[in-house]
Amino acid sequence: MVSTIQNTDVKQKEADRAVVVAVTSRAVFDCGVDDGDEVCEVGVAFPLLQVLQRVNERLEISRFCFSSEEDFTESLLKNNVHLFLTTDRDEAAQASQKGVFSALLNEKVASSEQLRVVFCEDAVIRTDTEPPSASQDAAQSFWAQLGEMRRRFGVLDSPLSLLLLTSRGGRESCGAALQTLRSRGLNMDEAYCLAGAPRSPILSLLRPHFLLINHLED
Amino acid sequence: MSQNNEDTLTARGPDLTSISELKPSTPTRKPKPPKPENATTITIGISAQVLFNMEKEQQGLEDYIKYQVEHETQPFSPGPAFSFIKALEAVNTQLKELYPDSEELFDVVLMTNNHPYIGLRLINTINHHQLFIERFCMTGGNSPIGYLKAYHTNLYLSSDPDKVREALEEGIAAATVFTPEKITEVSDTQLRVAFDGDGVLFSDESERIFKAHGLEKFLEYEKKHENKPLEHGPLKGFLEALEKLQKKFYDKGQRMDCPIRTYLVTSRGAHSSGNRALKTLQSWGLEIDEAFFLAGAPKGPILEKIRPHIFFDDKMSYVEEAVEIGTVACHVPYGISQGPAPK
Repeated sequence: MVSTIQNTDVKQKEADRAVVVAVTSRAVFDCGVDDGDEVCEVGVAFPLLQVLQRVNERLEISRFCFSSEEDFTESLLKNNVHLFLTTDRDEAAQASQKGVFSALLNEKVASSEQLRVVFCEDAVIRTDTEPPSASQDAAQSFWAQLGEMRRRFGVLDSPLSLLLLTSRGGRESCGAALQTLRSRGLNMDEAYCLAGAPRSPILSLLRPHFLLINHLED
Repeated sequence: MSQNNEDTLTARGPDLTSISELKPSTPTRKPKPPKPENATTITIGISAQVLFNMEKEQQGLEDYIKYQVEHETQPFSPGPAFSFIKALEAVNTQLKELYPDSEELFDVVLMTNNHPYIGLRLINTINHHQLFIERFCMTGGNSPIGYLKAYHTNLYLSSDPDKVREALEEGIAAATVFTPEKITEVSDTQLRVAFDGDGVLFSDESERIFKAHGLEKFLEYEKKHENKPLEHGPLKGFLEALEKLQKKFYDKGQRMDCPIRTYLVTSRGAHSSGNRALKTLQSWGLEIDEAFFLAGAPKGPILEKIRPHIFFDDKMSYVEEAVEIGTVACHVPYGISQGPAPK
């Protein structure tokens, strides 16, 4: 059963251009044992929501939609969600299979001042010649909107920051990634080329809210 | 749910179509870069501003960005640290010939405060000058210091004294590079690194005595403590790393024509105070190749003779002297020489 609660305090502008982000309620509020009356603690996604709100304030668009139910994928598709965030790997897999671009939240977040998104090398370069699937189209659409959103802010002092991280390749693959991203209207705020160095030290420095890469086994 | 750190961040998304038609120019053969997690790699963090000659931002950021993108295919010309980096790469080439399986090499990481809009121009520049730099950090305005630590940096060179100071405070060997008007030609077969003693290889403990009590007391003190090793200074670790590589050449019979040569250029004299310096190095198991005890004489003439690729000193007066005769001199802003005594 779908149960959608709209926040009527907030007006939705430019509905057709909105980037719809769905967050599983379990990540927003940590309710522990359901006592019914008790106010829940904040969950891991809370700083992310604060950051999204900050981005939204600058864009003058506001819409929050919380949906919680068993078969949630239908609800995601119906709401035209561009990016679904959760801490539950199975939920992410389910949504992705249905064609909704999904990401796992960084449990160790992260700034509540600036939304930081890291693009990993292999998410940028296409490695094979498969025909684009529904989820690929979803990804492209999300990226295009992210780029557009970033362009609305200046180079400095932006509430949204796009970071490129190339782990395996050297400067050639980083250069190619920068060009591909630029051709898609995405200008990076920071770029790191590791050429084989381990990722975790850099990731704990960058403090992204989420990483966009191809394969979970990376 | 047990996931490792990396997994918690990943997105299950597909590849995107790549439409990159304008590929940057690429060299014909690319060696595999050394891995920094290897403890024997010597990582040099170098600011793009000192490796290359980059135009300063004058017009305002948006115009600067536009200019850089428009000139993307125009490589930057070499900066003051260029010969030093080329010399490091020459050493690497020789080491790889002698020890094909070893990871004990110099690893250069390019650091820049700039936004990645300058990235393609930098990559094109690296390709044009045939440098082997595969790692870089474009921090978009954030401090590079955290990243220096993440990359286990053994030496950081920059034109920004604030960043250098910050690095030193974090325990990373660092120095501010100054550019001579005309850079003296240096050897392309031998890397030459010259160090001042106190405040660079050694701590500033003796300098404090000199400053507080004068020359005579200083000499007396040094004589009395001749056999007591000095504490180490910020660049001791870098000298140690150089000597480790030197030993690899010695082991293959290349002592006389070793591609790395180290120099001590100190104001200490060739008596007790100089002795203490040598004994300290000995106690650390270090053997600097040539030592010059100037007893206060100017450093310029000696540096002119040595022609090091790089010279480190904690006193700006000596840095300026070196720069005047065409040496790429780096200031190490450490210790009592930097200003009035603390406390």
